[in-house]
Amino acid sequence: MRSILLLMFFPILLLCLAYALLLLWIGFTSNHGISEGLSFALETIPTMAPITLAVSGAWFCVAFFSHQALIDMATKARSLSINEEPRAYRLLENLSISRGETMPKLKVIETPVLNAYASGIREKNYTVTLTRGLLNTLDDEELEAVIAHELSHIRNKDVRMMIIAVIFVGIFAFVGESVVRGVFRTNLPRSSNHRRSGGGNAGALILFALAIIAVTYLIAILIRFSLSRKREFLADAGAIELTKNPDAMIRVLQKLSGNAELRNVPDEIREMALHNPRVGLAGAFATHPPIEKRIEAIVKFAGGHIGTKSRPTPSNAENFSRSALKREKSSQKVTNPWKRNP
Amino acid sequence: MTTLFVIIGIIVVIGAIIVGIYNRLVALRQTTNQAWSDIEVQLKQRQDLVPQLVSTVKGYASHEKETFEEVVQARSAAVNANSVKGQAQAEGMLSAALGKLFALAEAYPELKANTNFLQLQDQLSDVENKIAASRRFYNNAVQEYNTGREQFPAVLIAGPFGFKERDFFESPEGRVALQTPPVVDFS
Repeated sequence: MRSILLLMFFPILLLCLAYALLLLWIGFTSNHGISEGLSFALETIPTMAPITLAVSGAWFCVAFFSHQALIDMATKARSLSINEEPRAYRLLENLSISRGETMPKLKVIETPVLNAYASGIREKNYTVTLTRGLLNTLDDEELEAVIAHELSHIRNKDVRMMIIAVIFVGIFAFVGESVVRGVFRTNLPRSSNHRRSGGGNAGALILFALAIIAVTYLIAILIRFSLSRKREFLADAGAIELTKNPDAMIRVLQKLSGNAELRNVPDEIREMALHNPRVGLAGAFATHPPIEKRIEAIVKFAGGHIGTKSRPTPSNAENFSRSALKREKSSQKVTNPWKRNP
Repeated sequence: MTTLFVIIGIIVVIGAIIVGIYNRLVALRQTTNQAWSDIEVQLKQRQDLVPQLVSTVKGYASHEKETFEEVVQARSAAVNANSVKGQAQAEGMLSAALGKLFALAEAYPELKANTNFLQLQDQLSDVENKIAASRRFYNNAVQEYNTGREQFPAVLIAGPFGFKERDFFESPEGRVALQTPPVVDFS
């Protein structure tokens, strides 16, 4: 419910942004004074509003229908079939059955990093993406815990929220960045020889507009972050409810710590991942709670034990050799997909 | 005049509450039905695998008649069971009989090397896991439904509208087994 309220802020932010852009435009093209410019922009806003909404609607449509392709392109994820990875596939299938839900698609990123994320907006395109490192180092119970965590995200509708939020924040990021670039490229030389810059007034208008843009961008980012932090605890809890195995979840988190950084992947996707180790200013920009906090919560509320051992089951070991064999057969090299060729 | 409005208002409110409860119960019952048909699909799949398995094993161990008969009987009992309890019991017996069959296959090395047999084994263990998963879903749904129909205002209308209590699909080993899917390991 809170998340829906937060999402409703986006159109308001969007109008603020449109207002700021108008100010910017006025500042650059005319010689209005500050109050004149402000009121002129306010008068123009009603006519601008439909255009703003139409543009953002179009943006939203494009993102809505092609977000999966965009995400896959950014992470170089590819689909997995049951024959390729029967273990993960069946775990996912069985967990979906035990929740009575349609099975999401299963994808893999060929990288030794340990991480996973869920994506999708509708039931048809829900996807769980795992990294190769995860598939190779986790035992059945741990892999089940990870998949259950991602399924909980899907079940709690977090993924839908995240993707919609990411799409919206994308608008602010796009406008903010292009404005900053545009200003630095065109305005500085112009103001240096005082041609057409309209004296101090236009400059003030421009500054004012930039301030609004900066604030909307910041608020949008903060909203997105607050959307995701609490959800990790909830998804951990959901996963444990599903698998009845808090210890495996703890082991996963321990293995993850220090090995979870998805490099060369856009921030938006890191935010959706199982763990995002990057922490910004004093935790305000952290998207995920620290691993210790998550483990602490599991021990406290789900009765987990720290320090249990992974147990590679025979079927697990067999699958390893099987998939290794298959890889050898197809002579497909497993390398870091993000490595840049020299 | 005002009293009439108050009375009408109260009736409307009560009516709305009843409709709400009724709809919730229907939704819960529908989920249990869906969960049950999920289980049935998996059970049917296992029942279909059994004859293939028996004929494969027969080729190698034709003289183990008793075990075959037991499996065939358990299968037909499972196919014919029609109540939830009866189905659970019959499926338990089938599981036990299959266990015996697989234990018996241990003594026949050629059988254990037969790809057809290995494939069936693989499929059966997959189906077993799926049965465990769909059983979990079904039991969750039943628990939600039973709780829903026994809670206070709902219990008043559950009876008259024919919302009957549902049975859990309990495995013979008890409810503990729900949390650990059976592992069919014959390797």
